[in-house]
Amino acid sequence: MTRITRRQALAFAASIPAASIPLIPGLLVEPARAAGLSAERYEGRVVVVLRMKGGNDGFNTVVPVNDDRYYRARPNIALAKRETLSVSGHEAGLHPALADFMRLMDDGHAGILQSVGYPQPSRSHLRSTEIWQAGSLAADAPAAGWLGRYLDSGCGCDVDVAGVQLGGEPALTLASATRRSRTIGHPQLLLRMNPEHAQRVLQRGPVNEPFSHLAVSQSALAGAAALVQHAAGGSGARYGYPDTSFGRGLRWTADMIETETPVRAYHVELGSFETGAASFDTHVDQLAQHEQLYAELGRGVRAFVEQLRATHDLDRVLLVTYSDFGRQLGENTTRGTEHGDASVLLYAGGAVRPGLQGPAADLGQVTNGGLNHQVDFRAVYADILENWFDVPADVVLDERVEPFPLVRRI
Amino acid sequence: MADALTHPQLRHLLRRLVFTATPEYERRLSGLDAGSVFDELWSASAVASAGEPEPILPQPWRNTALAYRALETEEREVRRAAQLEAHRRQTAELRAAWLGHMIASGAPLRENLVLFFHGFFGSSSTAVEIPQALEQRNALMRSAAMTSMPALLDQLVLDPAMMIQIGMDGHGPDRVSDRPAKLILEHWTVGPGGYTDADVGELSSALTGWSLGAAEGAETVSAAELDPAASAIERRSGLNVRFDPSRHESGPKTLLGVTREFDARSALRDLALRPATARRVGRALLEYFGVVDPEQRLADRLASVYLETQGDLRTLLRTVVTSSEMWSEASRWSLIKSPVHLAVAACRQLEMANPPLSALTGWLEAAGQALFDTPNNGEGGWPGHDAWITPPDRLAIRYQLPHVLAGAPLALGLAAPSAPRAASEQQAEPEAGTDRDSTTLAAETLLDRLDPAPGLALDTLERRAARYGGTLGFAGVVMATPHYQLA
Repeated sequence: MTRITRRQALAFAASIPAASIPLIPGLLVEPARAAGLSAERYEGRVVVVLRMKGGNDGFNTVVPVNDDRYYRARPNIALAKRETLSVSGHEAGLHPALADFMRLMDDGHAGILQSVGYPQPSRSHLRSTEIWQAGSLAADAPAAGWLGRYLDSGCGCDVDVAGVQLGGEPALTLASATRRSRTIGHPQLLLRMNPEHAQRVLQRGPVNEPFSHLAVSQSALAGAAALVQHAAGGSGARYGYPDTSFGRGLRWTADMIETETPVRAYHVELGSFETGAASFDTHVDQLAQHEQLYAELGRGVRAFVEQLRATHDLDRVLLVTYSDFGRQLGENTTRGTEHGDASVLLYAGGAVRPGLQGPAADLGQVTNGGLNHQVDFRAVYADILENWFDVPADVVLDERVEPFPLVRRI
Repeated sequence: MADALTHPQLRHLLRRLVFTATPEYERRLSGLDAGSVFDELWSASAVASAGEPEPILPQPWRNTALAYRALETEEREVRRAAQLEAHRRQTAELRAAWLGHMIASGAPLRENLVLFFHGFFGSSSTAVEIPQALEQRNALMRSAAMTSMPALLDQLVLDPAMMIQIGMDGHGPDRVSDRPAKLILEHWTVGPGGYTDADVGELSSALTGWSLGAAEGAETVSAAELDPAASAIERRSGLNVRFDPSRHESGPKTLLGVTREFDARSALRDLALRPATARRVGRALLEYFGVVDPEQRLADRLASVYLETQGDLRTLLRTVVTSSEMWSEASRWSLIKSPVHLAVAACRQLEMANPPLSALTGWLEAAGQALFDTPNNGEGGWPGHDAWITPPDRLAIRYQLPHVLAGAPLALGLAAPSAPRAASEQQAEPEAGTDRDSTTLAAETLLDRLDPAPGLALDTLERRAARYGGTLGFAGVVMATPHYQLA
């Protein structure tokens, strides 16, 4: 791995859209001084978790194009068979905006697992997201997320930071009892911050609780800055990631992987609850929102796979999506759909079983409008833990669930 | 605390009550005891003319994107897009105007309370969307901030922005939602654990009958003319609050054990005077003003003061200010400043005549405190404390404040006789042969003005600041000290 030069780093910085926030000149640092990271290179397996925020509609992701019940339930927002991307050997077509993702599937680098959910599903954004992020159905969700628990006790990794979330509000997924995860909302801001300066300003202060919070945060900031500066040596700028918060988050992720940052698990996020922004919570005008989000997702994941294939890292990377829940089969009166239950899970990587996996959605098995699940999402987590990370799933999961094989042994 | 305050004590109190000390306040208030300082600040803020800015948005709001059935879909979409854009722009203006008012207002205690209530009740510009409604609600909070909690609640529950935000608009017997009642019980009054599902149902029923409609004298739009599938805002004819007795569920209701013919206002009045509400408000004030109360003794006292005075805010705050807890060692430097407090304090300290408000509101959002938007879509306020510096890059954003401030000319107005650096020189490296005395004087004055903790060594700061020079560089170094992040 070549070390990054100062010129490269500055070129990289210049390629980032102008940050809205200027920098204190005193915090400028030579980016190559990546604060001791050079000693800790990691070339092992990583997982990237992608949240499709808001509750993704599985019926319009993988469309049951030969099932009249679908067309009867959605007179205004169903996708016609001829519009969808046909998947050979399956009675289903992909949403047309997923063309980039479809190409990855054809290349053997991506797949979609169908009919994923869990028993007694919740339709509350908060609760159902908590269940997915915790990897547990317990009414009192664990304080650490499923990957956070892996970082705490499973990964055997002796590093300060083993989990990184790029963008979004901190998700429970990576929350760890041993504080091994960081959320970085504005990587570009940390690119030129001097971690040593951050430590120096702490030398004098009152001895009380807020001050110790400040000290903890300051040292976390220094760690995050070191990671970002290290990753600035990545080649992501060449791969046409979408210029969105999601696209930038995924690009930073790939750059961290490429530069052998000792991080095992990443979290990125697509979709927003803000007015005017596209959301997977498609109560209104679902078609337009999907058009935008699926294209963004496909383009981002494609750039991600292309970058990591070029750097020979793809075989050690597994990306999986999750979403709050699926949507109901029937459309509502505002050209959208209401909260439902089981849905699809998308994944990509160099060692995955490609194509459509798992049982197709059974439109005869619908409860209160929501699809019944046939694959428990924890079976995917079990597969990742046992067949990807090589740890017993019960280190993390509180219930024994048979792994559902998405990972291809190589 | 009946003794005259020492200089550090006066600064402690000013930081908590009015964002920061300024030379003018220090002059005016030195030699007074805590209660008298509070009385002075309260009186200055209570003068209505000192506290209430002119509205900046055209009132009343008119809906330019009504979803008439007769309109083509395309035309409707064009109108709605234009309206969204106008609302977005006006909300940005409103944020800047409010921040500007916090910085410049002669009634800073009132403004600090408005910010407190903003967090206490929660706000969502996304849910409300209509900037005129947000402006009107802030004006209401401003005028009621110095009265009493029941008076404020009484007005807020029928405030158009709040009605939209909590979902009380159009709440009738045919469409009773639990949401407004839940929010009122959970966040505004008795709080978690203080009510049951049955109370939610009874309060929901008491809240029925209110809706928003066209302004008096304005052209009315019949529902039949509008597309029933359109979104709520596309069907909204105005912000005029109306009560329709035929849509109110009359009859006795039992709320927290008391059975009466409750309607929205009487139910709120009743809830406002409950001991659990008294306790929650007292605790929230202690939290906001950074008073550590380990034994909960002050919280108990505040709860009884609240009940004795029917939630009188002046008495409550005076009780806080004159308590021994306010002056305990544990309460000193015990608050992590909110981004708004950081920004407003810095502008007041530097006497910025023309702060870059729009850049600052962008900075506030990045730092986690967009005005008019508390977390979870307005359900609850900002968590404060270490949430202000978590994730840690929020701390990095806080350190950028001096640069954001430098987006506009600094008007330092330092009293140094030997010419402090002019704005144009701020970015320049220190010149060779600079008069050492004048530089030191300016730095000393600035350090004093920025109000850092005692014990910060001027020469260390200066050495560090000298690398990038100028007033701004120096201010940047001071603002990145731990004490500056705390209050």
